Amino acid sequence: MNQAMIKKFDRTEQFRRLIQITKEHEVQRKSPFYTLRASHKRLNVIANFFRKAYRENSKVVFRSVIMPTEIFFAMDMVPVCLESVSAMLAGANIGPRAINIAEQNHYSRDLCSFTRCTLGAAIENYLPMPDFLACTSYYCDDTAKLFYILSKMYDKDYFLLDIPYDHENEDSIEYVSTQLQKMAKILEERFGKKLDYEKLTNSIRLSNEAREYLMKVNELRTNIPAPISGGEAIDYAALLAFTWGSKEMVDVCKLLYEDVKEKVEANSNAKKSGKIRILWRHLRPYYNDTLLEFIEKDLNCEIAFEEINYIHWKELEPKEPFKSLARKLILNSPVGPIKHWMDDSFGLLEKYKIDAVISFTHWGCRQLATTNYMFKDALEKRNIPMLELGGDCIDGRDYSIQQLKTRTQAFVEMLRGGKK
Amino acid sequence: MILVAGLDVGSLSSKTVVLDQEKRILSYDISLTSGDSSGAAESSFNKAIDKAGIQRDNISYIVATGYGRDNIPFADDEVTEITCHAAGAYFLYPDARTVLDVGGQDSKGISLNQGGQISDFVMNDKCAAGTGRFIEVMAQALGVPLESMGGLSQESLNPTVISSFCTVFAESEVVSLVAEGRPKVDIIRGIHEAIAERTVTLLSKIKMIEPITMTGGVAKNKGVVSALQRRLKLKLNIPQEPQIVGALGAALIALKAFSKKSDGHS
Repeated sequence: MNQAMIKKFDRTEQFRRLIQITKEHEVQRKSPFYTLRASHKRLNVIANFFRKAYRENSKVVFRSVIMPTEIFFAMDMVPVCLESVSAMLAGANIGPRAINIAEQNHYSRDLCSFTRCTLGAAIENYLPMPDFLACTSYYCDDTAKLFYILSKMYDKDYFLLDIPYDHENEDSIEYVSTQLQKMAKILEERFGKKLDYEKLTNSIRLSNEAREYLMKVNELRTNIPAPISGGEAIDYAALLAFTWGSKEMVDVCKLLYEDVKEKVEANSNAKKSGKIRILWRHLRPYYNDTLLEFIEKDLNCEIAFEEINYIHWKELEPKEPFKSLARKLILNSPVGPIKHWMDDSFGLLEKYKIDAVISFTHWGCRQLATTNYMFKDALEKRNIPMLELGGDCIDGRDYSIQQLKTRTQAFVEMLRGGKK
Repeated sequence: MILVAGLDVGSLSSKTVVLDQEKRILSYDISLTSGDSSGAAESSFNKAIDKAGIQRDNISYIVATGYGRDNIPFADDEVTEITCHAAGAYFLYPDARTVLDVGGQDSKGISLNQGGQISDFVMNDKCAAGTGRFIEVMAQALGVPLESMGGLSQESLNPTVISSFCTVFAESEVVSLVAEGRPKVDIIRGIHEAIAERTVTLLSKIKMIEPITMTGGVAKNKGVVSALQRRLKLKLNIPQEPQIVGALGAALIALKAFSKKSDGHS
């Protein structure tokens, strides 16, 4: 497959290719153990956004995981989060094919599989042709390089937003805010359309509304027994990350809040579960996998909360959209010193009455792997054991899922003092 | 008399231990798994009860462990090999604080507290280099019987360096060393040193408190044991039959579970 082929097709052809490849790799699988109406709605919303990105008249922007989407919605653009795309491709069983294509094109196996998966899909030309690419310098380092490569492959403009290490400094916020304004200017010039500040204010308001519902959901999740499974909850913030600032995200979060509230009310007379309560670090395997279900159903534990669902930012200020988006971006837990991440995560321990932590350490993820020792050591001092579970979110071929289950089961046996 | 059994269905071998209520080992068996974990478990179990001169009905409770533990229909319960090796090692050595188990395709380091409870553990993840299967492949490449590997390496004074972790690359390295005319004893010791290096790295991830007890089939290999002891600068506790420690732990857990069940009924 030649990387120079990218420019040849229009989005209709790219969509046709995606459907064809999806059919070729279709597998009979167990349906997800979704119990919430909101989860089905979320799937539809994501699918609709993705379909919209394939329309010829859409203005598509590829963005990395913490690049704010509110500005793009205000400019009637369709943001596509490439990390989420890799997760979706893995879920559709296309991950190994895309990764093989990337490796055939000299992208090393040592690179993160999220990156390789996106590259393979771009090379096979079934991603929607972007009009613009916007990436943050952190996280991850290889994402910044990936976006640069893609901008060359698609021959489109690339904007790199530099994230300073010092996240607590007002100058840093100003620095990021200025860059966001610069990006908006570039978009205005590139697409010949002025940024409508009324639309931006509306997008900020919708973002705040979705945030408010998720905050309420997170409060409800402090109830014991856990009202919803972590295996179902983990996909909300992660897979909806590219919809902040949209009406659709508000609708999903509102329904999620109603679903969880109903579950809490239904549990009102339930006894305290006595189950081991786990805080989950990072993401999950997105291919056909049953790890989280195994932990919650077979091992009878509660994944009480996931780091990824933590709302780390204050309400956005509509009068200062760029500055408050800069603050939201820069206060992301992994940005800055490890202590910043630890402070955020350790605040969850008491709130969710956590007994143990599982850190699903995605191979190739430098920013997570480097934090594990400090986390484990500090947690031990709080008498909270942590299991470091090395694996891969996108590619299941490098290890045995049975081995992951053995380690998880042994960890639970350890927590229960030798009893299963 | 109450009798229980522990079955450890590993990737290379299946082990059974039959235990009485006084925690005495009545019999044990070690058989090859050969791809059929369920059949191998059944066969090993039958051999063990034959050796003990008892019938299947005499066994009150069976706990399965090992990678094939989910696939044993006649077991009452299944527990991971990490918990079972810890239980078996602590029973044999009540002062054990660290357990190192190196089996067919897994290596594990386990920390125990003073009461024998597991406080932490690590396990190999990405590949199975440095385990029993690694030695088996190298023995085949050298044309040396597996059981002779440990003894032969003791004769070496000048070990070669095996730099590859990957089993396939290490096999090529061994073949090249043979072609260069390096003495087999030196190559074998080099293999054992490579395993020891990898094992010590794994073990160092947990708090290594002495004494350290080594279990699993690789503990029978004197060459690996010597290399480990040199690197760790200590003497390892090696049980008389290290390969059955997981099955023994499973049997001890079975005894506890049966007693609890009986107490519940009384």
